[in-house]
Amino acid sequence: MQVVRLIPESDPFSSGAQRQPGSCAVATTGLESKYRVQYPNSQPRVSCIFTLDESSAEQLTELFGNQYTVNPDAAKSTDIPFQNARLLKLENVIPIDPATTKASDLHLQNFNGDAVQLDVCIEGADVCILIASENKNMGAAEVIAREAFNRKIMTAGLALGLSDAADMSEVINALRPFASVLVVANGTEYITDMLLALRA
Amino acid sequence: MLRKEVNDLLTQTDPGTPMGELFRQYWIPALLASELPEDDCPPVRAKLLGERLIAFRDSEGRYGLMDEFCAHRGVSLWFGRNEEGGLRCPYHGWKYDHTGQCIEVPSEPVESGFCSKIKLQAYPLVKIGDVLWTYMGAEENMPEQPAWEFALVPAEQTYTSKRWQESNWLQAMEGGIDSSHVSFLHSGGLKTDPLFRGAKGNQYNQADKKPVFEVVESEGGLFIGARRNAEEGRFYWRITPWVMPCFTMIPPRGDHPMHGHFWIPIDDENCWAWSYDYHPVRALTADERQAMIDGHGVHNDYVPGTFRPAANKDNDYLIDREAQKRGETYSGVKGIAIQDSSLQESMGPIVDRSRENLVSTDNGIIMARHRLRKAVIALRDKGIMPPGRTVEHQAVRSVASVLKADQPFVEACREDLKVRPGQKQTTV
Repeated sequence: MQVVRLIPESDPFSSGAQRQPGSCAVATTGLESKYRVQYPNSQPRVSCIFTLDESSAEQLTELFGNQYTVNPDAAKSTDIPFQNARLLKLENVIPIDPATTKASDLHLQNFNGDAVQLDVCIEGADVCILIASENKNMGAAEVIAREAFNRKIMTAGLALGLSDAADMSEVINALRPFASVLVVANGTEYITDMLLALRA
Repeated sequence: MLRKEVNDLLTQTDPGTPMGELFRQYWIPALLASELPEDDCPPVRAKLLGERLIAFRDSEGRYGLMDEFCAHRGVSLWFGRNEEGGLRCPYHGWKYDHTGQCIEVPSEPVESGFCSKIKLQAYPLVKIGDVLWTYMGAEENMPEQPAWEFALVPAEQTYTSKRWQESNWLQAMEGGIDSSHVSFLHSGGLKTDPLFRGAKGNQYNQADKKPVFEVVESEGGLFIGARRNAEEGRFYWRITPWVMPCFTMIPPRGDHPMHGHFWIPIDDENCWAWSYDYHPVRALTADERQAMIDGHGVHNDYVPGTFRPAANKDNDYLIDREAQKRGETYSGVKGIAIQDSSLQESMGPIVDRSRENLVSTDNGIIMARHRLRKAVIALRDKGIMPPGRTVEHQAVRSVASVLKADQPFVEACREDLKVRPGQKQTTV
């Protein structure tokens, strides 16, 4: 019986051992790029963005307005297609002792001013981003990061707009124990680029 | 992810494009000095930033870089006769000097002065170190000549190579600041490569596979610190400087030479991956230099007579699945340079960043794009010169160091991250 080969041996995309040398040359052309399968290759993700001081909160308000969940319509100064970014700030700036403060005891607000519980807002989050412009409320940062750690949620720290080296050192040192990634940025505009890049 | 319009903005470098204009504010590597080894040697084609150019070295040792094509009938001056102070088109004898000025049109009376009306677009070409550098922007904006340490140390302390990479410059450059891929793609090289092995720092790399990253903006670009656990609660830091738009330097390992890259657009779908190795205070040993020539470390071997890597897309990068199974290489591809180029070229000529899913550890890449976009727009809209042009911004070194846990690396290594002539690099 004659075997009909559906894939000729010379076809550069035939599988495994039959593949001929040089398939990469064909596969990487600009022409081939148009055959990449077009489909949504990721699910919407949830990002919790915590501002740890008044200055950071003001900067986010400047960027996004008084919203809790950022979406394209809500973003004031950008057309960035945010998905499910949750913007949160501390209810007050009184220093807290992380050793004695449970997640449920941390008083947070969304940017509408509504009270929000940490353990509620962090539920289902893919990433937590801690934003600090001053060396304040690092006790709160520890409580948030600890809760994120316990829930296996990635935590990133963003030290923002600190021109004074000593202040920067303090903020970095304070954030370092809690953040798997730490970024020191000069300007607030980095926030939007970062959130967009991360599909926040 | 990156929106398509931003991706286009950062990846297109032909004349008249915003990113092309940004690149034209810098001195960039154009050729290896060895490509024009002597006076009156054969001219060399050099395509840069989407411009077809011809480079030559005239009878007096002056370097020229100009439009490849004769102004008369469009003949390529690659066929030109390099003789008596200029490059002569073999078709009708028109001759050009190193500035692109036509100095002879044999068919016209000398007295007519016709040749003075003909000039090819030309750019300065200067030799610093092993490299011929060019500046393709407006004369009034020309910065100081390049002052990278690898190019300024004595010849016996430095080695530079280049290879043709068949992808856009940006996806190649992003590999240079993507520290997190090293633990995977290049994991085999730390144990075996003669230019990496034996350093104490390698033990930290191998013991802690989950580095923590810190990204800090600098005046000229970025410092990207990768932190791993060391002894007694200390951290082993590997700090990579990125200087705009496309210079990176890999953190050192032991007393091995320091190394890094430039990524220079040829056109939007090809770039030159420049790779340098140097030691700040001593000559390279004969073994080190030979290892570089043989393609170890960040270098590669070639298709003879070309700058195309011997392992390239036409031969599937000589992928060896058995070596991969044996654990000799992580991807099956041999050599740091080709491990990178194989994957970066596989993305396609210009990767579609709108389909990416970046994660927090990609913040170095996110920040670099952010800085580039800001600089491109500031130049385009306000004429503000971008960072990375000054000698101060170029006087950087990478660092490998063990620091106390509470020391911010930028503060603790402030002096180590600067060039200190005559002083050894900070390394582990």
